[in-house]
Amino acid sequence: MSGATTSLELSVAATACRLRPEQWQRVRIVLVALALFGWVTSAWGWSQDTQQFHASYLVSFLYVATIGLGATLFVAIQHLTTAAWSVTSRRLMESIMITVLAAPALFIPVIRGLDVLYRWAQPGFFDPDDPNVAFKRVFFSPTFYESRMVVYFVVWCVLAWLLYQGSVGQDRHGGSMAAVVKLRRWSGPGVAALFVTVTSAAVDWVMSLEPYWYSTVFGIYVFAGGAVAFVAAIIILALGLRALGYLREWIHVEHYHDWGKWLFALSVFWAYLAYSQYMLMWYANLPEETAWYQVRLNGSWRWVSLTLAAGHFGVPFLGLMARRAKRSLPWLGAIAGWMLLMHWVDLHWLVMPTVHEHGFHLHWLDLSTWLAVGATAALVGWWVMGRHPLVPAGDLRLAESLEHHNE
Amino acid sequence: MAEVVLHSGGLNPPLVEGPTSFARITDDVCRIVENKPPRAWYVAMGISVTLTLILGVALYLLFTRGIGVWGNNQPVAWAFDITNFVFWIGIGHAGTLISAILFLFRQRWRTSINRAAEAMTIFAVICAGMFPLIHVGRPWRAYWLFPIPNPYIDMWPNFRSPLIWDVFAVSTYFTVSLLFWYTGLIPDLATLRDRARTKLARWAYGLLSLGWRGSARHWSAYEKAYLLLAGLSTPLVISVHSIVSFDFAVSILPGWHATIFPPYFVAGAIFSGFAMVITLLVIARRVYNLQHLITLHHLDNMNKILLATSLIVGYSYAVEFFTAFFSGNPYERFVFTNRAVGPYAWAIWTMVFCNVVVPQLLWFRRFRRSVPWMFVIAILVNIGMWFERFNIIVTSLHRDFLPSSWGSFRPTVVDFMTLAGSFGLFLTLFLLFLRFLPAVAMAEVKAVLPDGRQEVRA
Amino acid sequence: MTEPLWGIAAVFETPQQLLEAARELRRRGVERLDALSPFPVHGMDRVLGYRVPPLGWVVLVAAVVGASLALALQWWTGAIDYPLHVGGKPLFAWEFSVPVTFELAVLLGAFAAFGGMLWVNRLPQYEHPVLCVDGLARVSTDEFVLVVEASDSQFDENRMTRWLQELGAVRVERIPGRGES
Repeated sequence: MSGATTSLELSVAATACRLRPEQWQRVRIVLVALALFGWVTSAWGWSQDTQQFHASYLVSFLYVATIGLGATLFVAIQHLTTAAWSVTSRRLMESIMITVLAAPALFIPVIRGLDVLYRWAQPGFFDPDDPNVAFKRVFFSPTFYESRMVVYFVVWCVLAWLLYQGSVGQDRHGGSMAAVVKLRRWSGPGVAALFVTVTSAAVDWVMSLEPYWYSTVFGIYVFAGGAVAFVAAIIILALGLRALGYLREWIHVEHYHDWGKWLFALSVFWAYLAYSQYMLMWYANLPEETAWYQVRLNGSWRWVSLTLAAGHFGVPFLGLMARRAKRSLPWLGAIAGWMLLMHWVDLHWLVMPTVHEHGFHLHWLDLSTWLAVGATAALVGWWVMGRHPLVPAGDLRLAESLEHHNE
Repeated sequence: MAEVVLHSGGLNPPLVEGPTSFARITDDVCRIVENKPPRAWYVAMGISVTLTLILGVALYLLFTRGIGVWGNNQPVAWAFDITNFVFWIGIGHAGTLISAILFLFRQRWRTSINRAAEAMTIFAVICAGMFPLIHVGRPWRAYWLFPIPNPYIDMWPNFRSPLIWDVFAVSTYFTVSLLFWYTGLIPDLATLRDRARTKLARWAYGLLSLGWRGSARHWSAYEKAYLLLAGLSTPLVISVHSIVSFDFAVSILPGWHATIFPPYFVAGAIFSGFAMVITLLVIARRVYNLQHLITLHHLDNMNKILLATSLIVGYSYAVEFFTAFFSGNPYERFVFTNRAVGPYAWAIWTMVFCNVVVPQLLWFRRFRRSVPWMFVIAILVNIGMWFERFNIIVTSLHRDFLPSSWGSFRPTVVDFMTLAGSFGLFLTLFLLFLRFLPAVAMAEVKAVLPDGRQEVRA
Repeated sequence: MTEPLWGIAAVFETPQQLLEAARELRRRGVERLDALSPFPVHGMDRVLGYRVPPLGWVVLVAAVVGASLALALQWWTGAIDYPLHVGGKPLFAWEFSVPVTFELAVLLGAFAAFGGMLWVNRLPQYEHPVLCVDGLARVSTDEFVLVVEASDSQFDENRMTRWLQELGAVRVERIPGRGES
């Protein structure tokens, strides 16, 4: 930070880095308008085509939830590893993370429509005399299912809230080693709990759409997709604020370079998981597994699968390989925006073949539910962003983060 | 703000402890090579060479009498051989993880341990590579595995087989690890050359250091090549154990066919590799008085990675177990029930205890920074990870689909001799490394000292 | 005295002094300079004004060649030269070709990175005037050395020695040329 030399001056400068109230207000009005529009049209769509509404809504809900969970994972890992480079962008991470608080409320339409979308939720689906589905019958019994949902949301909201409070608390009271240690302590078990709950949620929400299909890597696949989308989202958020004149000195090209590396690495990781799952099922050729891919490799779904391979892996792999590409902000922004689209394609590809078995089918509800859920979650994030400085002003590693550069 | 400054120091503890200088680092590392080795080295070497001789005897028996000297049978056609292969190739993952992945993650603490860990990688891959070669029955025809036109069979390897992928993966991994290791060694070999007191040492280190003179141009290309090798090695190390996992996972055998196998095997490999690095470095730093270079801070960090990978491995066990029941597939359910309560249940619970239960102690700083505790934990993890591979292989095989084809596996003396002998080979190579090559990457440690890091912006 | 002189070497104690001295000599128009150090001194490439070799592109090309060779090998041996049906699998498919393709891409890429480094650095090179000076043996331990070649247009042994001493050199060594024992 130019001029600021001591950590006190730096902290003061960071505290002053806030959204301008009138600008905050304006964006909030836009978000409220978008959310209202989204909810009203989605409600109308629900009355017209309930199944389509629930399928589209599930994709939109997953879109928002996975990004928020990806953010939670990232924030926790930054604390765990005492990372310095990411400190100046951590408040933005936390703002995305805090959208997780909206997830329980946003989940209500999903649970209201379970029997529309999930065949196992229809009464009498599992044969009580079949020992092979005995486990599933218990697992998907309403009480067990609902208690799992409570556990997920409690774990996610408590973790996000603790990490958030621990961070903004340092803005007010100044950073201390005690605060660093406290955040690190929550983060270790937090990451472990996240992996377990997200895996289980991926089974409950996505894998069980096809009640007899199973894949052990599925939970990590969904989580990896969320992490990719989160990195894309934070790049877009930071660049957006930069365009409005914020954070220019705080998040500079060295930080974007690192975010670009993460976007690259996580897309490759996602592709690694996607390939492993697909190749192993292709190779073993077991009917109970290949049925899932059969739908997705036939008809127009085939083109969606190819788009996913090329767009979710090929584009970031080739586009972000060069150092110069990761350091060019317009280019990085373009790839990040593309990856946000690809995350939607990924989720659409996971969910929609359940209701549109014969081919890819785009519906206006896909957009309106996305607006409803997305704008609502964004409002939560934007709300808290307006209340605190845009950089963690009290963090002990603020200066170190600013000086960060890639050798 | 004095307090804050003080605490900031706590966030970035020094990587080398005590009074130090560039010359001191060189002295501390080079004297290991230049002075006569301590008595402990001779004792260890004696034991290792003896074990290696046992390996020789075991191999002699194998080659002259055939695979029947092992306990392998139908249906347990893979047993100690492939267990040892996967075990050793797993050990070989820590070195590349430290030298490549931690390098890309800018973890500067890696500089004190990467050389020894990379050496371990290479020796472990040598041990690993031996097993597929000897278990084919006629090892003198092992070159048939490579796509070399040969008049005896006049056909090509079957590229649809994951076992051929393994040949490519392991040989590539060995070659690239060797290149990476050697690249890192060049500047340090030049140091040994410049300090050499005997003609022979001067000649040998001179030859190996290729005429390195530390010119700025040298360093520039060197650093670039190092970064590129790290960038190549990172996906490589992940691919190798993924491909090893494909050996199992492409099949339709319950307990083998699981889509989580690739990441699960990679995490397990890093887990076991770190355990081995901790085991050996805890001893080496004490014998050679390197406590100020390989500090408790380094060991603490390694223990954190051990804990993290232990959790991933535990997660994988749990997901596999859950999915076996969730899937509704009766064969899957049977295999996992059989694992938990069947004839090999003792091996499963040993694995769970060593790999998942014991490492939980590492949540506590007290255990992460206690050398005796971490030594015990690391040894147990080594044992647990060997059993993990044993369980995957033997428990899935010994109960075939038809009960009439069920069997069981009992290792023979030759099985144990081969296992013990592979440790002998590994330790012999490691001890020779300690004797003749710089065990700590001197140039890299110097570059992360505060004096070396003061950069002047042009 | 007619002994050939290859250059002179100034010994500094810290990388910062080395960098400053190099920068100052460059400012005075000295071209044929080299800096020797026990570990990389960052910023030296900019001071000495040479570009970092484009090894990344070499590696990329090698990796693409490796991948193409691997694909060609698997396709030709499996589907053309000796088609054999195994396990109901197609004779060639991308699904099973990925592992070997990836491995060969990495293998050739690594060879290119290593070989490229040696090529750029002209290694192995066992004869070099600098390596023959006993007084420069500590450059691989803790000394930072600036070498000025006698072939430089600015070179004058006395003046250069004075300059280097003014810049803080603790010692200045003569580097004899070839033909002298």
